[in-house]
Amino acid sequence: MKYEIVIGLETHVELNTESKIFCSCGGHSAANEPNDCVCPACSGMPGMLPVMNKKVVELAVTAGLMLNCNINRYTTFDKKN
Amino acid sequence: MKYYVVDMCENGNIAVDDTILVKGAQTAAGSRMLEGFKPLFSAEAVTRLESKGYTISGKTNVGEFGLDLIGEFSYFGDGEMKSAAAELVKADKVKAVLGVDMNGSTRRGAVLSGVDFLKPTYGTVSRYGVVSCAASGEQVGVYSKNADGVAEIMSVIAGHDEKDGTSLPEKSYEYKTDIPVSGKKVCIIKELLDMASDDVKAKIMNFADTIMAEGVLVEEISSDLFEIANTAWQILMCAETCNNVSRYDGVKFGHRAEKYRNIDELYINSRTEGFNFLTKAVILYGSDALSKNRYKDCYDKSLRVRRVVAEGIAKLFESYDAILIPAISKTTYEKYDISEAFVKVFEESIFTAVANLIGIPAFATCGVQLLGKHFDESTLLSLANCVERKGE
Repeated sequence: MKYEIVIGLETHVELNTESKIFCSCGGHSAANEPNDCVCPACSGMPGMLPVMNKKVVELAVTAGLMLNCNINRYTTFDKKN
Repeated sequence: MKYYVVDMCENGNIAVDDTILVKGAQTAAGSRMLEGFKPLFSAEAVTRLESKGYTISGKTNVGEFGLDLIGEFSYFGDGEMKSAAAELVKADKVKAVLGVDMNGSTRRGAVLSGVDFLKPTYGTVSRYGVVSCAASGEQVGVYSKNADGVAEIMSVIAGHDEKDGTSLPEKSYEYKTDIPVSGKKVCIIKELLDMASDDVKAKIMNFADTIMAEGVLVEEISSDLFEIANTAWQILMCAETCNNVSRYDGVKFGHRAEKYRNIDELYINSRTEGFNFLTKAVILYGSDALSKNRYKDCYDKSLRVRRVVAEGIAKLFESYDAILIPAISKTTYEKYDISEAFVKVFEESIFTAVANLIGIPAFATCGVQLLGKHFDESTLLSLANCVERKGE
């Protein structure tokens, strides 16, 4: 049997954005006290909606272009809760 | 009848249904699963009303997550076959009630009680602060006694909200009830009319006669779009609901089972006790539609059908300004067992699902339902206004 090798990379990068990816809470650098950077949206409370951070998409596409990757025209998210 | 789940202010002039968050007031969406959950923030629609001087009177009873026919299966309700929100408006206790239209229960409730409910165009009212079930089709709407009441409240709550990613960019919208209707064209769908009882048919014909007297052209046409729209929406609605209620696991908020020996039992027992039979049926149906074997034929296909229906209805709207159809098949509902609910809701949703599926506005009024083009609520309100004025 012949196998085709397909390798996928999952990379975790902390971005230097001003806010988190799905809400307007400050990022890591904004934290002074415990629970400084948490809101009903990022804690997944009922009734809250995630709103995509444009800068994150920009940075991801930039990194993709730098690494000579194909950029998908259509991307979907699966949020845990 | 038990109107309120939570009483807030005796002199309040607006009530909101229990799927909409009001800061500090228990918001349980009719479910034992969220019993005792007190949100930290109010929904955007509620905040906008309060900033314009309206006062919230309380939270009206809804069926668990809005999944049932009209609100009969609520953990907090008395099981009456009437909508608490619609009856509250009918009894003149408040000016209007905010409700969430996810699968037509609000429109059915309004028509049964003889009041109005507008499900506006998707994306015009912020869904921030709505206990979400089927995010791609649910929308906050307004119950009121007449078209003017609906228009007044809609103009306050509609408009862009940056906290909701599905909110459209327009800052505000205009809702008129007095645009000239003479020369407008309205179609009646034969297949849907045939499914309705004689008294519902009579209401449709009466509505048609009244607007024809105002110079509106009414024609009966045939269309199979509504049936496929319903099937597609029920699949998408179940799939999205199954995802959205997965956060209710007894750990973070709401109901937690008292007896459990390990984390699996904590989830299982909390959900077994917290959800009613209908919600469980929807979750199972949704999980099945999203499963590996069925995803392509069920979920993915329904998304394609959504586009086909949207194109078909857009074509219809090239020739007509509005569609006149029933909102429900009969004029009263009898009590029934919850084990029959899934099928009953499926059958009745044939009248309502298309508006949720493709996001067009739907106005339940005078015992009938009007569907319109995206952002064309004013035509629907004005048509209804003609008939309401005649009735007075």
